[in-house]
Amino acid sequence: MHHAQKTIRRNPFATRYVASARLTPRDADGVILDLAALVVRLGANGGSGAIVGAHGTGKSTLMSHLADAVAAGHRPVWRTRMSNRGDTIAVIDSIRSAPRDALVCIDSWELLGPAGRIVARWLAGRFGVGLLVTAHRETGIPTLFRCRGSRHLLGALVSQLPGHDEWFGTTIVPDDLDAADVKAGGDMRRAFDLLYDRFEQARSSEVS
Amino acid sequence: MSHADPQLGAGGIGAGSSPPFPRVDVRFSHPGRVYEAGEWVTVEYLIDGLAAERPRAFERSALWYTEGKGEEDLGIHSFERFATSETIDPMVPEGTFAFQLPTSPLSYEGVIVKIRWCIRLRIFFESGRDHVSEHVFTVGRVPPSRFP
Repeated sequence: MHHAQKTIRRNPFATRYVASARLTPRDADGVILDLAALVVRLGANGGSGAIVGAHGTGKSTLMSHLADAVAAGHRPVWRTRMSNRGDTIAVIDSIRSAPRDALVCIDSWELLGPAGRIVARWLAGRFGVGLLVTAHRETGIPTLFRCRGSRHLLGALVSQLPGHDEWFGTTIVPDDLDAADVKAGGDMRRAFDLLYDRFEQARSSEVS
Repeated sequence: MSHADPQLGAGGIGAGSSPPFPRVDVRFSHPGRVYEAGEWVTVEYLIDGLAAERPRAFERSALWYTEGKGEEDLGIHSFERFATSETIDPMVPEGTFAFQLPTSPLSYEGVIVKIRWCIRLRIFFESGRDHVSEHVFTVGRVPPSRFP
């Protein structure tokens, strides 16, 4: 039996490591969000809330963790995601079939379209179901949290990626984060994409 | 609480709060953990640090997954779950298992996407938390691509 193996080049910016469920939700200063406080605020808002922000600023990450926190409090949670308008019926069905007092999470609320959004809100009121949605702008549902990307946030997110101490400062340096932040314009997903490529490029140079 | 740490080296990446997560040591039957398609793989494992908590289930599997910037793909090649004390006790803290590899996919170290094979061991504790460890090995000899 053998222990030794060739070195595996793990790229810490791969989807596997930067997926929403993997990252800790943080604010624009990079500070970890108080999920318990947000759950309380959600209740104070009548059980519904919107997470608002531009693309790649952590809305889905926050929704994922917030849904976990709500579920841990024994409130039923239904999770849905709008990939395109074709998902509208499935989302509406989720609201209709959810138990009373449940929280239905809808990622990408805008994709429901004007009519879909009206129907979803009406059904949620009719069946006593709360909605937690992500959107790029105000929705009419009370805003629970506004997400915003920043260099501070990028630095904090990168610091929690696997093996950070092994590659930060060598394969990836702070200047790389600065460049990715400027180029991505606050879109953390785009910044991760850029850093993925930068990591591959740097590793390639290291090997040769 | 779930604790999922990919272990890409020979050792393990274990993190943990209190009580600490166990350390999982895995030994493969081939040097360098490199296998040919269709070959049999034999794996020995030793889980250290279980004294504080009793497992309520244990899973061991062989699978491949993609790693890259886009959507991920995954295929489970073999999977076993042990969920009673009668079945867990002979498998934990140490055991051996073997499986035959399929003809594809082969491991690939690309720039945009990588294909990785691994052994995944997952322990579910009675407290509700669980610990996952992954141990990568190579199937085939596809040369890695280089950044242009």
